[in-house]
Amino acid sequence: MRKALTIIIAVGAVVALCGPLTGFLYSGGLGKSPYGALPVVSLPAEAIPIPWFGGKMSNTFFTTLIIDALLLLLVGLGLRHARRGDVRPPKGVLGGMVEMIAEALANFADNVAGQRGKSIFPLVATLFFFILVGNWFKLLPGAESIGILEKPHLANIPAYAPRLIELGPLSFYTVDGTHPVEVEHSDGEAQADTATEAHAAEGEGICTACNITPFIRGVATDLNFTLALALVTMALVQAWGFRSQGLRYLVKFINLPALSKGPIGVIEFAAGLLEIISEFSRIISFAFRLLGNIFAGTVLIFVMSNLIPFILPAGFYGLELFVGAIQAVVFALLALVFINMATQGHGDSSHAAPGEAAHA
Amino acid sequence: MDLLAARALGAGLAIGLGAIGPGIGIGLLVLGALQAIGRNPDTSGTVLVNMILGVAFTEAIAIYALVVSLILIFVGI
Repeated sequence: MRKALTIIIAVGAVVALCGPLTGFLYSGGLGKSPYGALPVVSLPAEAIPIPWFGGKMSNTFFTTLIIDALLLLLVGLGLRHARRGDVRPPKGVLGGMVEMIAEALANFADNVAGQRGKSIFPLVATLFFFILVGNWFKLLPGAESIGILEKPHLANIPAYAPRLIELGPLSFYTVDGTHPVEVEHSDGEAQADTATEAHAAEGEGICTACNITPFIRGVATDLNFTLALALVTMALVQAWGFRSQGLRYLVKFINLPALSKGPIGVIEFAAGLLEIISEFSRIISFAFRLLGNIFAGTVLIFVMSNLIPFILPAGFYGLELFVGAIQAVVFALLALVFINMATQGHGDSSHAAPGEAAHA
Repeated sequence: MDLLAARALGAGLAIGLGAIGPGIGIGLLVLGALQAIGRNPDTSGTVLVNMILGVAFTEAIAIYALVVSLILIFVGI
């Protein structure tokens, strides 16, 4: 009970502190004051320069690297704990939270998959933590709002005049929402422009029609990320099916044995062929469910921060915390269920599933 | 009507009309699940898992509409 209360208070504090700050940064300053600019809604990830090496990478890829580092750090902390032969439950808020989530996931895997739950659990937990951290990372104040000042690359992104702000020793640029500027898109100059704009953030030369390309952007707002996760997950589902059933797994798709049963068998054979289509549609729905929810959340916070920039975005910020967690749960749970369905044979599925469900 | 306006209109209509069915469907699903849990609270774990699975499949249909509208807005035709 006390644990739950602590978590509720912590979430409340995060929403109360980070929510307004995020909204403030999103709207590029004090909302409708001179700095407020229309949000940038761009489905493709934007390119940011790679430091020291040159070249470009997408900002979602950069964020993925940071998330990977964070998760590896978490794993390292856990390993250090385990190496010492500690069997005591971990101390501290972080350890307690990770343990609680992992325990809940393990129970879930046991309930759904029974005996097989133990072997499926690592993948499901990995997916869950990866997506959860990815979804929550974009809610940090400054993510998706601090970046490089440069000329927009796409035609439908609004451009504004830059404005210098000095706060004591700090000086930075923002966009001036009251001065929209038309961008002249000329393909010939594109190369030269990117070169000068790379230095724009350092103050050497400044663009006249600018918008901000964020350094950090929610990973799930990039279709490359969600599609990659979906492909990996569905490939692993097939692998699990072959591992537990061997070549008999193919009977689910190309149901040759059913053909010997006469006319009804033909219908079963056709239903097996439909299973192939349903496997592919699962890839699409996996990828676009995550993308749609998280991308819509980003746009929602953008728009709300522009409409009412002060307190209201905090409410939507809380909603986004919730949606991010729910989507991680749904992705992990669906992966678990699909793997469980693949490991059960065609014949025994109808008997095994209700029996295991009854034990749960 | 120029092409841009037609695409914007089409995108809005696609997701707007496409969300009606799944909205009703998810409502019905949750209704059934909550009634089942209300009748037999012990099965809430199983019912919840199956409900989320059903909601995911229902939601997939809204996702197809979302894909169509995203393509209409962002992909050059």
